[in-house]
Amino acid sequence: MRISFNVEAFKNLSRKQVETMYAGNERALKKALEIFEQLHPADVEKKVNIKPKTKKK
Amino acid sequence: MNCNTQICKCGDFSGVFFGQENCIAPVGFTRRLAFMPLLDAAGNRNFIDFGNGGTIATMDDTFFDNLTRVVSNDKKLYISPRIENPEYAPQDDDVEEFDSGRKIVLGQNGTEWTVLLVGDDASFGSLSQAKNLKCGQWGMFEIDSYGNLIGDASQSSAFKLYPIPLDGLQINFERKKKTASQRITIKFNIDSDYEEANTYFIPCSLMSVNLVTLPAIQLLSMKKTTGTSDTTTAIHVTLMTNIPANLGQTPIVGLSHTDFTATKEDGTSATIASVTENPDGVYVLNGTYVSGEDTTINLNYKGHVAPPLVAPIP
Repeated sequence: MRISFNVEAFKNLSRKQVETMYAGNERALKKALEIFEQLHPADVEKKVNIKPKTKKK
Repeated sequence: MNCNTQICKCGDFSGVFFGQENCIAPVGFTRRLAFMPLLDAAGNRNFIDFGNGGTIATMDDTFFDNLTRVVSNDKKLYISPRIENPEYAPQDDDVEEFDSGRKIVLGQNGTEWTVLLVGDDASFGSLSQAKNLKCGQWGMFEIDSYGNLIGDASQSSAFKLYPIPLDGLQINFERKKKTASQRITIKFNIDSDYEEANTYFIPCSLMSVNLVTLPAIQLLSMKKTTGTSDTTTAIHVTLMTNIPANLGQTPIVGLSHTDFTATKEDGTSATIASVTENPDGVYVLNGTYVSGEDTTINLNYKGHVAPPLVAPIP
């Protein structure tokens, strides 16, 4: 399998779009998310900073 | 435009000055032909525009790629493979001779050309393409052995060279014989209205491309991959050589996302995010496509063309 990515196009995609696009192709999804995260560092940060929900006592 | 009924016009006499600058070399022998439709889809004369705002354009790889591949088919320059045994037979003018011996020239006749495509260049694929020359009105440029591009300069337009109008195009095919290779014979006449004295050329010294060796454009087959469904994120195409399936059709391998373009119904570009090839010649174009609309996929692969593929997105 050969795959070529249009890195420029990833600037205008959302994470959800990337995940949908490569659903079922793990290898491509992994690479696509790498490209996406390089282009959208804020998105990665946001993901890391999500606090786990805690149940109110 | 020359008029058949007048060989020259009264009052037009401007001398016959044969003295020329020594540095302008005569052209070489014909090595290839380049055909161009005489008229574009709007009915205007086609031409090669080698001007760029009053100066000579850069005639590089991009210039000829645009002319031979990118522009629409009605304006393309179709460069033949190498030709063999070119024969030019100028036809005598039509003359009426009277009993006194006086002769009156009634009109001129064009030169009759015969050229051969031989060996690999005379394949059935080449034959099917050459046959297309029998449809529509065509003109031609010559490419000589130096790479000069020879055409019609009669329109007095700066930096424009027009195809020389042809008529009576005949295409014949001969199978290989014990003493002769397989061949396609192309015969045509230079239109009798064309004044050959208007022939001129774009010198190869102005080009950074060698037209003698520039590859001819190959037609490919681009089809929807069987057994697949296109979606808003994936279009499936199969790219093969353009010969009948099961007769040695081979896949076109190694293309990337730059070799395809996707266009929405409103004419704007759709994004192709990646191109995956698996197996050879079978491509998935991942991108963002509009649901309920047709997306048109065009090939943008240098040296090759394929009819566009319309993918209806559910």
